[in-house]
Amino acid sequence: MSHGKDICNELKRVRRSIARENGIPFETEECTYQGECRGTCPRCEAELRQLEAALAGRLSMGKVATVAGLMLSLAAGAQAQEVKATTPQQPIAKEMTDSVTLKRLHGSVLTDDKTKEPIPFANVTIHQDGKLVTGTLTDFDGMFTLKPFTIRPGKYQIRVSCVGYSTVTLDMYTSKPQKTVTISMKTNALPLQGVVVTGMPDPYDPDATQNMEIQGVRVIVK
Amino acid sequence: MEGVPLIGISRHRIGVDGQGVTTLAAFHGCGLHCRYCLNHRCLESAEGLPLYTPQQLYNLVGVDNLYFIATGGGVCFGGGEPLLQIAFIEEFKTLCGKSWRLTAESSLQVPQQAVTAATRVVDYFIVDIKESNPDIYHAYTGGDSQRAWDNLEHLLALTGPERVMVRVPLIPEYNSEDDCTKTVARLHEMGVKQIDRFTYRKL
Repeated sequence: MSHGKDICNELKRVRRSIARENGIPFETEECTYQGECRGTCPRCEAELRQLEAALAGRLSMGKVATVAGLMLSLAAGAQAQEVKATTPQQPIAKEMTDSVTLKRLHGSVLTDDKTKEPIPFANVTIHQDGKLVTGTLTDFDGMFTLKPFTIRPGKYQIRVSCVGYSTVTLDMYTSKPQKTVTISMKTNALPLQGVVVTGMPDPYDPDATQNMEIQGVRVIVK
Repeated sequence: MEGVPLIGISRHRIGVDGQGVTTLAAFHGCGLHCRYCLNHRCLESAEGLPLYTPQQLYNLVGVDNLYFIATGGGVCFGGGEPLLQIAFIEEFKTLCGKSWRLTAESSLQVPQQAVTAATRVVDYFIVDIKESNPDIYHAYTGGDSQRAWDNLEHLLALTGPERVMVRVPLIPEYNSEDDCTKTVARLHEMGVKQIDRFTYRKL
């Protein structure tokens, strides 16, 4: 079996495990392609996007989407992290003598154009003094809720990032606590597909990227 | 920040560049000139190479977000010497947060401040220390081994051994098995627990 086929099988196993953990039907046709497997293909990519959409659907229904904790058979010794899709940023617990606990913060993340489309799966994080305090993800409707968190009185930041959009950072103040916030994001000009790359392997052409790995002379002998 | 040149981006690397499904982003530029360099492109002119901002790279590699989170993987910064672009990595970390695991493959031939900064944003370090004998190191890389070893000591002091893996290659025409054994012994004395000893072979 080719290395590309090994990768393909492993990624398929990951997709299947995510689906099973979340009760999402996952049916995949046996691949009959006879040529050199590139590790991924349009059909594999489509399965991944469908899985993302199904997970977003779960979140929109108020369910937890579990996508962490899967082991890779090709990566010996891999230790998956306990990360839930709904809470990717774990709060940093700190003892603070001079602190304030802010109440639950509800919000929505939308596109900044006329349509005001909700942006699902955006990372919403709270920072103070350059350090992460807490965070969550938006659901399918672009909504999020941050649980009460404790910080030092004064200025802090809410930061929203999402693939395909420019990151937004807003200053907020504990003296003016807010219950809700709406954040608009601008689409990023860089397309995800069709990037023209000169002088380097196309990151989405596994042939090219595999060549990059083997162009040297390194062979690992344990 | 301004975009920086990348010599390559490689998706779906499993069991090569750290834990989980990983995307390798290889920076242009390196302080060493190794005889058997894997990626000569990083030493040639950057002209013609695409420039990426952290946001652009984040957007590009984000297609594998689900794989990263599911397997505890993320992005491995290589090169070239990734710690020469520590400002880029710091900004990238603010975008991806803790959801993605960041790995850096470094020779540690960088200012010590870059190592210090990296410990705050990089989860796992793969250190290409190469050789403990300074003469052999210089002959093979053209660089000063003292700087790399000083930085390794500094790195271990800040992170502990759990976040550091050190590569020790047997380099044809430059060092011997005995040299590698000496290097490994020195690493053990420093408290390094994860060592990848292997052989370069000409194809």
